Amino acid sequence: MEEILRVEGISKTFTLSKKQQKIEHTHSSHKVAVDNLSLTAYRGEIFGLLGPNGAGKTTTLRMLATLIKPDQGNAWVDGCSIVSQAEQVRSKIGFLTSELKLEDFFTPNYLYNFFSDLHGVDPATAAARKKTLFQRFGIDKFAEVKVANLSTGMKQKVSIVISLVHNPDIIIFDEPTNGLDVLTARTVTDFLQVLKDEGKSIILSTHIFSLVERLCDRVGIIIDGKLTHCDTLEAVCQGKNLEDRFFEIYKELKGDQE
Amino acid sequence: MKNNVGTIIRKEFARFFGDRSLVFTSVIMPGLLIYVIYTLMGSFLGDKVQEKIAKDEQQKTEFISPLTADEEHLLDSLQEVRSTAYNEYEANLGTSDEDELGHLLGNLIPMLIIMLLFSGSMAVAPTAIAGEKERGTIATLLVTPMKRSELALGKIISLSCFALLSGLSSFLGIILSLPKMLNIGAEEADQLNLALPYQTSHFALIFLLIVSTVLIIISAISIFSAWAKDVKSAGTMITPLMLFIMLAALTPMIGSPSSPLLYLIPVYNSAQCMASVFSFKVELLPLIITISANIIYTIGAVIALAKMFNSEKIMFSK
Repeated sequence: MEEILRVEGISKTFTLSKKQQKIEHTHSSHKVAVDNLSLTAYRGEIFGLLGPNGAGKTTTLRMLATLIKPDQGNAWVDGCSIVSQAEQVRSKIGFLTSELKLEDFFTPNYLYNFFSDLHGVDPATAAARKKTLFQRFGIDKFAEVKVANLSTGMKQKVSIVISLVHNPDIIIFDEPTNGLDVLTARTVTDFLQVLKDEGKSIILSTHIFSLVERLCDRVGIIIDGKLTHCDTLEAVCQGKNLEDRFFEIYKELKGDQE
Repeated sequence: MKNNVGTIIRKEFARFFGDRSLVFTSVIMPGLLIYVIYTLMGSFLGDKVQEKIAKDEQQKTEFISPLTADEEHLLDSLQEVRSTAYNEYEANLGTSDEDELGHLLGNLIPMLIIMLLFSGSMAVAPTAIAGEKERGTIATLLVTPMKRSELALGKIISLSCFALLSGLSSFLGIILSLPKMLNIGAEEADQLNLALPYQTSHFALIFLLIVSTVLIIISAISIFSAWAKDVKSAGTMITPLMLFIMLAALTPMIGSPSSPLLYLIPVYNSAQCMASVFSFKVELLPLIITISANIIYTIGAVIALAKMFNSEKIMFSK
């Protein structure tokens, strides 16, 4: 299998403000969000990242997308370092997370063209790809409606399409079905399978066990910033269903703390 | 690089001109308000003045009986003596009507221009930078392969254009309402224009100074806005900058700089140079120092803004 993502010992610690310390119920002014995390993802696979809230999934994905820098370690996306070749990494990935918002004022059509320009996609290719993606997600009927006037589901579909304008080989999706109704969520998950069939590599962070079981080839379990398990779904599950296995692992690690 | 800067500029223009309320509040309203207020002021004050003049004339006519031929001859001689004496006094003093007018405009107009440019910049820059941070749309731009310096340059160029437009609107409001404020007719207004002996070169210099000043003001506001969490806190953070700009704009009233090095102080240098142009005392060295310094500061600001866009602490702090 061809390696497309290699992560080697990345760590990230955040400084907490007084207000954040109060919210987190801690006296420590620092929080280790990701602790010496290493993993590998291969071309054409869907890699699922599972973990409770605050485990470090989003921080890991934000580091891979070069939005934030690791304090230690490095990662290579298709051979480009997230530390020293951030611009090249950004041209190779499609990134979707709830913190990335689209400007309410513009229409999906305008935004698609704008982001295609920024990714340097030639106009003919961009137009053809836009037509395909807009049809697949049913955006074509809303192409000239301002984002402000779209439903939550349609906004998420537009965000997904915008993250794919440059036809990236590696796609990083952080909770892509959060807040979506079942029909829209199904459209999104079906599309992930289509992307996989097209040979794309997908890193997917989610809480939904059934989604991981249905789509992912391999899975990583992250708890308290540490990657505790990283293997094929079968190897991690050890004959049990994923949800039961996840709670077993969680209890083993947290023990009496919970 | 050029392409991405152009893409950002086009997007900012589409955002600005596509939003009718934004165009109205930042471009049309300032000029319109100034025009309406000054016209009303002129009309109100003008009526009062005209009434007073008419009353004085009437009192004077009633008081003074017609002069005899001898009295008129005596009066003419007296006027001639006084006129000759005044001309000699003025020649010794070395000032003319042109100098006095230049001095007056040199004191007032730079302050007016700088304040209008600042208010125009305030109308657009915090929303375009702190607003994007607040809404989370800047993060979407930051995951594209575009260089941070391209984003910074695109923002500064487009915002400078909007600030210039806003300043121009206010300027037009003042110019168009000036005759009404002075309560003079079209003929007198034409005469007033003819009395201002400024040439195209003066206006070209003023334009250059305005462009370099707007770049520096937009750059400074952009940096404060990038630092701020949201538009509201950007407004608070910009208050000290506003005070500095107001003071710098007032300095031509106090005097001109004693050393050319003082022309390195941004905004102060623009105010002083504008004053020198309006008072017909243009010197090349201060002008070169001012424009060069302002351009260098703007380049520095673009680099600083790019670094700020690259800083996770600044861009993503909660």
